[in-house]
Amino acid sequence: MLELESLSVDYGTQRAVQDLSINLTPGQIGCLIGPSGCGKTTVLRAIGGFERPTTGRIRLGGRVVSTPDHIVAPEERRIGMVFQDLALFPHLTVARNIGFGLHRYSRDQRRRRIAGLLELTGLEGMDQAYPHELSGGQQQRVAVARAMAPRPTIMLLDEPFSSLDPELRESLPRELREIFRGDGITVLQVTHDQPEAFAMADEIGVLRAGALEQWDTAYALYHMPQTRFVADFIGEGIMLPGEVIDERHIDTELGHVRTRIPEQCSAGSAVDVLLRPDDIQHDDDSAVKARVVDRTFRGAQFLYTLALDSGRRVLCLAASHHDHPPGEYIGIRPELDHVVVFPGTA
Amino acid sequence: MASLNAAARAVGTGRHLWRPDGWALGVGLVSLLMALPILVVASYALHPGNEVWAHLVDTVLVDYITNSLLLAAGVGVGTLTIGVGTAWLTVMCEFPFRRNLAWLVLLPMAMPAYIIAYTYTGILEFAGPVQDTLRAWTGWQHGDYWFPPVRSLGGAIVMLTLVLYPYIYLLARAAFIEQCVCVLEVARTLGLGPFAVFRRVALPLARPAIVTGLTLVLMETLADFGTVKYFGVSTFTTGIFRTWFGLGDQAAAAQLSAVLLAFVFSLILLERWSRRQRSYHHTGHAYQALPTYHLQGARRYGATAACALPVLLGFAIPAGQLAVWSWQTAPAQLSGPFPQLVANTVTLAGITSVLAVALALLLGYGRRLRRGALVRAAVRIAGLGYAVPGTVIAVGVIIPLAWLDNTIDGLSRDYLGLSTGLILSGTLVALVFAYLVRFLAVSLQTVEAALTKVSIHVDDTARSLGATPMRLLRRLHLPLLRGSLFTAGLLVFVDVLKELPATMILRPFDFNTLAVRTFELASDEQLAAAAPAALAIALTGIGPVVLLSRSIAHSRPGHRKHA
Repeated sequence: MLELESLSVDYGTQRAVQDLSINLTPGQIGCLIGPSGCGKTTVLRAIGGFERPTTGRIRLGGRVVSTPDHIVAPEERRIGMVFQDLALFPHLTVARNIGFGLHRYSRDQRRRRIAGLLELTGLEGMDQAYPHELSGGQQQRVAVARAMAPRPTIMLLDEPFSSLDPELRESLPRELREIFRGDGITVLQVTHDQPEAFAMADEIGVLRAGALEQWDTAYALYHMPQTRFVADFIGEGIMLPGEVIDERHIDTELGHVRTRIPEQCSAGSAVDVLLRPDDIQHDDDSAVKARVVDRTFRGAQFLYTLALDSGRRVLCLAASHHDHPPGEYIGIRPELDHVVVFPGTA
Repeated sequence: MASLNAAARAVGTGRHLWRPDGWALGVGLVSLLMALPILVVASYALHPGNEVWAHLVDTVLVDYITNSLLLAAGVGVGTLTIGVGTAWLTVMCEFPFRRNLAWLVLLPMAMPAYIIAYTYTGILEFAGPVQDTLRAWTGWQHGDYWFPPVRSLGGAIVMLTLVLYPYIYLLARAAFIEQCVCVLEVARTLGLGPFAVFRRVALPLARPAIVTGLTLVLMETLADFGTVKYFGVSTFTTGIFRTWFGLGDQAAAAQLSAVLLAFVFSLILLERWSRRQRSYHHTGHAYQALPTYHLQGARRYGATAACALPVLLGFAIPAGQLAVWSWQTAPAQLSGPFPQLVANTVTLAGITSVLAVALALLLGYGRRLRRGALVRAAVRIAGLGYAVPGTVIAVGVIIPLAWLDNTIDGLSRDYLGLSTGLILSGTLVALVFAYLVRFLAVSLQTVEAALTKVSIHVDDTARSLGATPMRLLRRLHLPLLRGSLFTAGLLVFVDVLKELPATMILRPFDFNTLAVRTFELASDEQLAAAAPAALAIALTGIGPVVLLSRSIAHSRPGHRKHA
C-alpha cells in the first residue's frame, strides 16, 4: 500500500532522511519512532507531498507519487493527515470540518458519510458544535474523522496524541486502533512516545538521524534490539560489561550467561550485556545481594536501582509489596537466558 | 532537462515546488515598485551637488540638522517619560480609574500633531483665552510679562510628545504585561523595593520593546511636517518643501531627502542592533495575574492624575477647543466646500486602503506559500516605506513619474501628434502610489500577524483533503482573516486621512483633502474655520484607538477578561 524505496530528503545541505525503505501492506498500522530531530516528521511530509525527495521514490497504492523529478500534488494523493496541533478549521462546525474533503460527493452522500463518521468516532450529536466547544479528546476524534472522510489510501498521523492529557493518551490510541482496524485503513504514525507507539502499531521503525535502525514488532524491539541505539531508546535497561568465554558463554559480574554471541566477538573479547529491569528478579532467598540505591513507585511494582558489589548499577522490577528502603541489601536472581549482547565499546 | 530539474531542486529546497511561480513574481514586482521611490531618492546621494545644494550646505543645512536632532532628542525624552511611566502605573499599580485610563491614554494617538499645534496656538497666543485671563487677573499689559512662546522648537517638542507617547506606552505596556510574575517576585524576595524592581528588573527586560517604540516615535518626529512648518522651525522636511517649491530645485530637494533618509535608516539599524543584543526576551509563561501595588493615600490620586494629565493635554483640551470653534464656524463651513472635502478624502483613503489590503494579502500569502529567503526579503522591502517621511516619498514618487509622463508625452507627440499631458504625476495615481509606499507596512503587518495565527498545518490538512490553493484561500483563509482585513483597511484609511506632506506635494491642482484644507486655513490664521475639518480627522482617528484598546484589554493569556 505504501512503499518507500531508498528515500532521502534534504533541507538545503542538511540531510533529514537517509536512504529509508519501508513497506506497509494494506490495513497495516506502522509507526516511526525516534528522538526529536530524527527526521520522522520529514518522512510524513514527503509522503504527503509537501517535501521533494532527493533520491528514491514513494509509491502509494502501487502508483509512483514522488521521485526527485516528479511530485504529485498533495490534493491529488488521497492521503489523510492528522497533525499534533490538529489544525481543525476553527470557523467551521464539526460536520463541516469532517465534510471539508467531501466536496466531490453529492449532498446526500456527504450527509451520510459525515453521519457514519460521527457515529464511528463517538461524536453523535456534536455535528453543529464548533471546535473550541469540544474537549481535547473530541477535537482529536474530529481531526481523525475529517482525515478519514474521503476514504484515503493511507492515514498519516504526526504525533497526534502529544497534546492530550495523560489519561486520553492511554485510551484514545487503543480506540482509534479499533476504528482503523474495523475499516481496514493503512496507517503510518510518527511519535517520540513509546507507549503511544506500542498501543497503536503492528510494526515500529526506530529512526536515528534520518536513517532506519530497525523495523520490527514492539516485542522484538524490546527484547531483540539490533543496535545499541535501539536498546537504549526502547525501554529501560543498563549495559553490563562481560567477557566472552566461548561461542555460547559470557562471564559477567552476575555469573555466567549462556546466550548468542555477536559474530565478530571471539573468546576473550569484551562485550556488553543488555539487562532489562525484568531480567533481574527480586528473591529474598537468593544468595546474591545488592544494595538499594533508589526506587520508584509504579503502583503495582517498584523499579529499584541497585548497586552490585563492584558499584555497578542494575535495574530490578519487583512487586510493590516488596518495600525496601534505600541502603538495604536485597536478594536478586538474574534470569539471563535470552539477553542481547553487543560488542564492547572500550 | 536533467540540469533544469536539478536547478529547480536547488532553488526550492523541496518546499511547495509544484506551485507556479506567479506568487514569487507578484511579490517581487510589488516590492520593487514600493522600493522605487526610496531607491530614486537614495540615488541622489551619489549626485554631485549643484550650486543650490552648495548654497544650502553653506546656509541652512546645519540649522536643519541641529533642529531635527534637537527635536528628536526632546521628543524622545518626553515620550519615554510619559509612555513608560503611564505603562508601568496602569499595569502594576492599583488606583482609581486605572482600567479606564489604561485605554484613555491612547486617545492622543487620534490627534495629528499639526492639529493640536494650531489648536494650542489659538489657546495660548497673546489674544487667546489663557493670556486674556492672566491679564484680567493680574492687570498686566502687553510687555509686562513673559509667556513661553508656543510657536518655537520647544513648543514643537511638546506637541509631538503629547501625540506620540502612546507608541511607547503600547509597547512598554505589552512588555510589562508579558513579564514573568516569578522574576518580579524573586526580585522582591531578594530585598528590592517596588521602585528598585522597576529600575533593575522590569525596565531592562522591557528595554527592547521600549527601544522599538522609541524608534517609531523618532521616525514620526523626523517625518513631521505640519507642526514644524506651522511653528516656523526649519527642519529637513520643511527644508525639502522649501527647496522644491520655493527654490524650484528638484535635485537639491532630492539630495536633502537623501540625507534625511540616511538618518532614518541609521535609526532602523540602531533598533535592529539593539534588539540583537537581547538574549533574554522570554522570561517564562506565567498565566497568573500580575500582582499589583495598592497605592495608599495621596499617591493613589497622584497616579490617577499622572495618567489623566497626558489625556487631558493631548486630547481632551484640544478636542474641546476644536469643538467650541466648530460650533461657531460649522454652519458656514458645512454649506461651503466641506462636503466636497469629505468626498475627496474618503475616495482617496478608500481606494488606498482597498489596494493596500489587497497588496498585503498578496505579499503575506506569497510569503506563506514560498518560504524562500528571497521572497522574505522582498516582503520586508515592500514594508520599508513606513519608516520614510512622507515628504521624501513624495519627492521619490514625483521624479520617476514625471520622467515617465514626459517620455509618454514625447512618444505620443512623435507618433500620434497629440500631447497626453501629465497622466501620472499630476493625478491621483501619484498620490495613491505614495500613500501605498508609506502605509503598505501597516496593512502588511496586520495581515501577516493574522496569517501566522493560522497554523501551517491547516493549509497542509486542507491540501491533503483535496483543496486547491484557490479553494484554500476562499474557504479557509478569507473567512479566517475577514476581521483582520477590515482592521488593516481601517488603519490605512485613517493614516491616509491624517497624512499631510505627501498630499500637499502630490495632490492634483485644486484638489483638496481635509488635512490639507485644515492646514491651509490654520496657516492663514483662520483657526476657527479650520476646526470642523480638524475635528473630523481627530474623530475618525479614534477608530484605530478603539481597536487597539480592545486588544490591550485582554492581552495577558489566562487573565480574566475585563469587559
